[in-house]
Amino acid sequence: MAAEKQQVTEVDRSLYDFVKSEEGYERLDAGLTPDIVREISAKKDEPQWMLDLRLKSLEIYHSLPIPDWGPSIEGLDMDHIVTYVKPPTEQKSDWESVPDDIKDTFERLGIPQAERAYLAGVGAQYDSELVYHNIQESASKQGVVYSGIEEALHGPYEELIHDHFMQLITPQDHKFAALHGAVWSGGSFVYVPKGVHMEFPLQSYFRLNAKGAGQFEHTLIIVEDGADLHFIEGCSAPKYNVANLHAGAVELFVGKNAHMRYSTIENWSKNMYNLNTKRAIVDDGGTIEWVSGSFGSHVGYLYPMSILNGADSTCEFTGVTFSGATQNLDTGCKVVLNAPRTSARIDTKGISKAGGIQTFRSSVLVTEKAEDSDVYVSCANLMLDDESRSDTIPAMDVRAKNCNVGHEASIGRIGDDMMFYLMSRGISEDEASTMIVNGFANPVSKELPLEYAVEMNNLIKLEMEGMEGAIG
Amino acid sequence: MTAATETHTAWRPQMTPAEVAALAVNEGARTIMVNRPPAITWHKLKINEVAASLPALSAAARTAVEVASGDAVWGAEAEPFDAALAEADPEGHFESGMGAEAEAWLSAHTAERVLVDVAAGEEPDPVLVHLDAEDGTASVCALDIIVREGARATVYAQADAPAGGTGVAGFAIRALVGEGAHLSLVVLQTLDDGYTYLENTAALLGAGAHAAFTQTELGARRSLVGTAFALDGDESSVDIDTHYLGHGENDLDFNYVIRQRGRATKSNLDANGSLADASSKILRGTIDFIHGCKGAVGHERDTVLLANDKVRNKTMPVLLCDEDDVQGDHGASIGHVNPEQLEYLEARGLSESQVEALFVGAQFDYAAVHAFDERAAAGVNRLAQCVIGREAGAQLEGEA
Amino acid sequence: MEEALLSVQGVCASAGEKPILHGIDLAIGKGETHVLMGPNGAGKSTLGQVIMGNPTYTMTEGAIVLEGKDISEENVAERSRDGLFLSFQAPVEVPGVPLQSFLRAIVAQHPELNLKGKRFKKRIAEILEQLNMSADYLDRELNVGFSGGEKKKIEMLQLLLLKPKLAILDETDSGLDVDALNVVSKAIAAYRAENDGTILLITHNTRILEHLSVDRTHVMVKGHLVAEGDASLIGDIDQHGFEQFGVAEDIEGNKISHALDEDEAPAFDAEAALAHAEAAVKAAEAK
Repeated sequence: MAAEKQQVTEVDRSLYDFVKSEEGYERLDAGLTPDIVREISAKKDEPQWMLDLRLKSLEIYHSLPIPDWGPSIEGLDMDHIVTYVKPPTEQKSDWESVPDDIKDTFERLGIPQAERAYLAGVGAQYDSELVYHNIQESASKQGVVYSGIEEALHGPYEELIHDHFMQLITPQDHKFAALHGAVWSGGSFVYVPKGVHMEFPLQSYFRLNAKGAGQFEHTLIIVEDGADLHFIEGCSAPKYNVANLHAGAVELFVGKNAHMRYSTIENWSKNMYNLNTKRAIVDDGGTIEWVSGSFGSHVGYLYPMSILNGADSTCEFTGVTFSGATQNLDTGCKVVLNAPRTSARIDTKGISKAGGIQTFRSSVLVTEKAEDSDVYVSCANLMLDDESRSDTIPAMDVRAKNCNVGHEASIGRIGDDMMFYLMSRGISEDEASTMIVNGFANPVSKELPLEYAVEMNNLIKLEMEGMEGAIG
Repeated sequence: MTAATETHTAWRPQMTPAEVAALAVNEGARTIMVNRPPAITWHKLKINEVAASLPALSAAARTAVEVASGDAVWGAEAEPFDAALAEADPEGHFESGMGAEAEAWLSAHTAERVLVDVAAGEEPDPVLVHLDAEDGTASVCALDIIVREGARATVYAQADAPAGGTGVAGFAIRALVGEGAHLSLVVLQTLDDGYTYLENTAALLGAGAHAAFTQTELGARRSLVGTAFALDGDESSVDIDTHYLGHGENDLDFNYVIRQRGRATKSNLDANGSLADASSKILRGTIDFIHGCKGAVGHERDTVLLANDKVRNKTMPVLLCDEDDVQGDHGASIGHVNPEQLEYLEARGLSESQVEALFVGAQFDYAAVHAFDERAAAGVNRLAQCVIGREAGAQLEGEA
Repeated sequence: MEEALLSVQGVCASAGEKPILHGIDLAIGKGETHVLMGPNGAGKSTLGQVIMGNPTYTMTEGAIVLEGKDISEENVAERSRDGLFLSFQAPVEVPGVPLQSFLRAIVAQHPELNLKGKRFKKRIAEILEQLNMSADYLDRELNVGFSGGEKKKIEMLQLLLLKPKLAILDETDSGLDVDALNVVSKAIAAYRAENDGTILLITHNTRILEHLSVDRTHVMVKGHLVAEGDASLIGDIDQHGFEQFGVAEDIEGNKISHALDEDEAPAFDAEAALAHAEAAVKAAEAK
């Protein structure tokens, strides 16, 4: 906390001149000015079109309101957003200032010493660079491009990036998409050529910018016709950042008859505001699969969106969200069926405990073009005690005649009979609850590669620890 | 799209109490925001609230409302209900489905207030209320129902326009169901396309009370229906059964709010409808499990048949939950006639459009069969004749 | 008399406000097989649940003593670790939990079994073979999509795995096909033979009893224990149903047609039924 406060006052002083010179921005965000944005762009030596995009996004950012329909983001210092975006080298943090419970979790999840500093954003000592390099080599042998997005901007893929970057998630979409457009930094670029089937999943974990950023990273993935890719983002170890805003973006372009699976285990530390935007657009016969485990953040807004734009395209979404003490996670998904014979299947599970707040929010839009399509949404929520909260707010807008839209949701607690059955075998109440909750989250863990699934189960165990009298 | 959807504005802040009070005076055309659900979603979806533009109209004559039978006070004051409410609801949980702005507008345009007050333990004959909308007016009937301890009451209400015309018609219903009492409330609406219909219900149930609410909405260019039940008393319960039909360019807008506060309360909302031609509908249904409602159970279901390419359906079933010892679920099924049914009917010589007409007609037939008196049946038939060119229930002649 | 393995002493229990069990006294010696019978709604399953410690029921009076230790205050898990086992009539589904993981977890709670690592695998394989069950079950989610017969087989697998001191088998034999019934019979026989097992069998079905030697029979009606006798009592009930206890049902719980209409039948008189039953037992013993 002290470290954070210090940061703010330092930055304020140094920006004093800017504030004076930029009329009209004073009353809004005293810090986030076009000059700051130009500075960011210049440091990255970006093409003009990218700078223009940033500046346009900044304008839009200032004109859009803060959402009033979801969890409060009061804890975000909206007047000093600039403190979150100052070039990383100026953000000082050290292992000492990393909160104890983060260090504790590293310990309990068995995270190797070398990785811990890396995850806590206090150093790049971890040999992730080497691992990442190896992944890159293996990928390129298959003809797949996997690189940092900033490097890719300076290479032969610049035009490709130009044609796709923030075309799917536009700055107008919402305030934090606009913010992202203005100050984005770091992230992955993946290009899978026609017909190429990536043999193994690409993982973004090894691409974390260890110096405390990763907050505004942009992931752009293009999977060409007939190609196949599995991309895994994140990990179950808590990602800690002193500057507590994450406003990243993920844009996925899935070509004709191509297949893309995007898996995420997200465990941002409990001080974070995770306002992420993920979107996929799918062409004829293509498939997008989302596998999502959300465990972290203080406040989360997360609705991966799929636009089924090509005939016979499909979307599958499997997710679990776990909301514990002090957390308010508003997650779900959006899907637009905009072509004939498209289909979407959404299956989510939510768990709330110890005063956590969880909201499932969804939007299903079936346009006039989506004849003979179908959508099925299933959402099950488990309340582990009577201190917590769980809300389900789905919305369906159906405009096509020959389609079928089904939605089912349920809320309740662990059945007494289930508890009694497990306990009658000698399993303690706490262990039984953990087993049941792990079983509840099984649809997600079984879609993940084994090591991630094991990690996720361990994470759930950790979250469940310390439950008191959870079962009535 | 249709005119109805154009009036769905994105968002505006709720009116201040002073602004709402100003609405309660009948002065000119108004645009009110109605049917706001307890928890809202993305504004872009245009599902949160809806704007109703209501023209300047004077209230209809009192004769628009007739109590055909049963024991009721015609020409009642609001006071008796207000007093009973103050006693039953010290914490102010009473709320209406459409919201304060609609309440104010309806009260400013009330033609007549009917009070049904059933004494403890009594089980009187059903009360039948007919609202015949008058051309060029706002024909609003305020219906206050008090069912005291252990009593059983049945109230039927119909909104019809036997003489056709244009205007606004509506019901402002308030109900208090006391400990162990029963209320069976049936509303049937068979208005012509010239009308905008507002139906605003607010109800509060005491311990062990039960309410059964059946709604049938068949007509009106625009129907705005808000229904709120506060299950305050332990073991109170409500069953809501709604049937609706969209035809022509009609638009239906529903908002259900069920607040379960008492322990072991039960709610069941079952909405069933067909949308034909270029009609549209929004249905929001919220079951709110409030902390302390241990053992509560809530079910909600919206089943919609889309009979045409041009229809538009929005459904927003919401579960809010602040209590672990509950069972809640909701579901929505939106789609076309299922392929097997279609195959079967086509094998009997029906073309696809005839199949659609079959399902549309079915809503009228159902309503006719369940009509509570001759006038109600006549209303259904009149509308059926306009819409599907035949009498309702005609195929069912001969059934007991 | 040898000290009983399980002693149920004057137990009364309620579900919420409603009293269900009234003054139940029961003693089961080690190695014995007891049968508990009664018409529908007698409270037989409830007794099994109460002995096991299901928190849905509150024991309002009495005590439950296992091997001389009063376990009335212990929770379910503790009772299991003390050596009690309950085989469920309709085992619940636990989605997402593979049977294998479940079995490992329960074995971990019973360290006296000493079944770690390879020994565990071996033992499971042994039991699967013994019960003629495929190893495929191990990867399936616990009870999810299992038929009634399959569920009962899994219960029997657990019985043989845990080797409890006392096994309460609740309607373990009801609604089973021949194959499943065989597995159940085999399991019960193996449990008894290998561990000098003690059984309380709650049942409607006489078929399973044909293969078992029964030491005592208890009859419950409407929450009361109305009769106790040796194995011959079963034959008696098989012939006459529960009419002698004031309930017009046969041994399998089917209504006896010539009985009085429910409306006409007098209210159940526990004392009269008990007196009548005692007389019947005396008469049987006198033969």
